[in-house]
Amino acid sequence: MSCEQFEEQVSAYIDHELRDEETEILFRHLGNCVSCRKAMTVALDLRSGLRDQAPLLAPEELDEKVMSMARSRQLWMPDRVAVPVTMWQRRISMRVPAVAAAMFILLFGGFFASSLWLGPNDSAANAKVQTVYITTLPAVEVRGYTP
Amino acid sequence: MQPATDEQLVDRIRKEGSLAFTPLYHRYKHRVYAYCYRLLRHPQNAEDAAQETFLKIHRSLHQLDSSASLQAWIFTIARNEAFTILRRMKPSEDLENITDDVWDDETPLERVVARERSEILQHCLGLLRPAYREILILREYEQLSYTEIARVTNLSESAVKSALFKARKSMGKKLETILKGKNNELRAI
Ligand SMILES: [Zn+2]
Repeated sequence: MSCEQFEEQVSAYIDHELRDEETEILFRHLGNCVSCRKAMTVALDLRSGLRDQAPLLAPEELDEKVMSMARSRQLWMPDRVAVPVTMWQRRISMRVPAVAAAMFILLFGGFFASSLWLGPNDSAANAKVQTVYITTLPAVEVRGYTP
Repeated sequence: MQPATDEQLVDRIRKEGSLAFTPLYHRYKHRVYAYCYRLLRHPQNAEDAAQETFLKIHRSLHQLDSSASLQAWIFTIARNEAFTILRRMKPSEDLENITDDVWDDETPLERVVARERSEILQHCLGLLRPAYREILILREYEQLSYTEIARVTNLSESAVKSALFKARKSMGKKLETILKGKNNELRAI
């Protein structure tokens, strides 16, 4: 192996990309070769010099631009929308007609049932919020009481 | 809650789709911006490239292969956006021209002497040919593995290994030339 090839191994060594046996061969050569040792020093100096810099931080305006883009995309093209509803203890996944039916029952049935059967000690604090994933509807929040 | 690792973040993306975008954005915004900035050397263009990158990420989160490296995927997108902007940049905005202006004109010696070592290194990085500069940025700043760099740049791993070696060698030579030149100037006083 020529010094040129060993220098390439030096570069891979400092990147932790050499196998054990390759590392052993490299270090045997380094023991006898001043110029390859110098290549190692230069590569390590370059690394510490480049990494030893103040971090480049994204400008704050980027937050607003990106998050408003994400919000508007989420609103108009939601891939999966979380709908917090009550009276449901597990995650379900349904198609739109089923969701529409379920929403109707939840909205009116839940409201009606709660007004009929909830005792005086029931409070909003007892309400359990549950997440339901649907595929195409925008976010709707339904609040009610656990029966 | 912010996911502590990329694996946790990928897991969240798999479960929640684009609802997991916010933690991803906050985890990667500085790195993506810095990467674009170092490639483009232009704050506004870097911001535009970063914004476009996150827009693409938001759009294609569902395509993320959860077994692949998240950071390699993100930097592949960022690289495409930065290169699109780089192609649109006027020659006068191009990096090579900017550095030529800064360095090859007669720079007042005091300014050069006052330069931090890291600034000189930055300058040398800017003088490298784009392919070398890019690969050094991915390795030294973003600390991607050879496998990840190969994925981002569409090179083989052995080509990455060879390019990194050449990039370092070229950078070492440029640095040596600059430092020698400055020493001669100092001796001439
Ligand atoms: Zn040697």
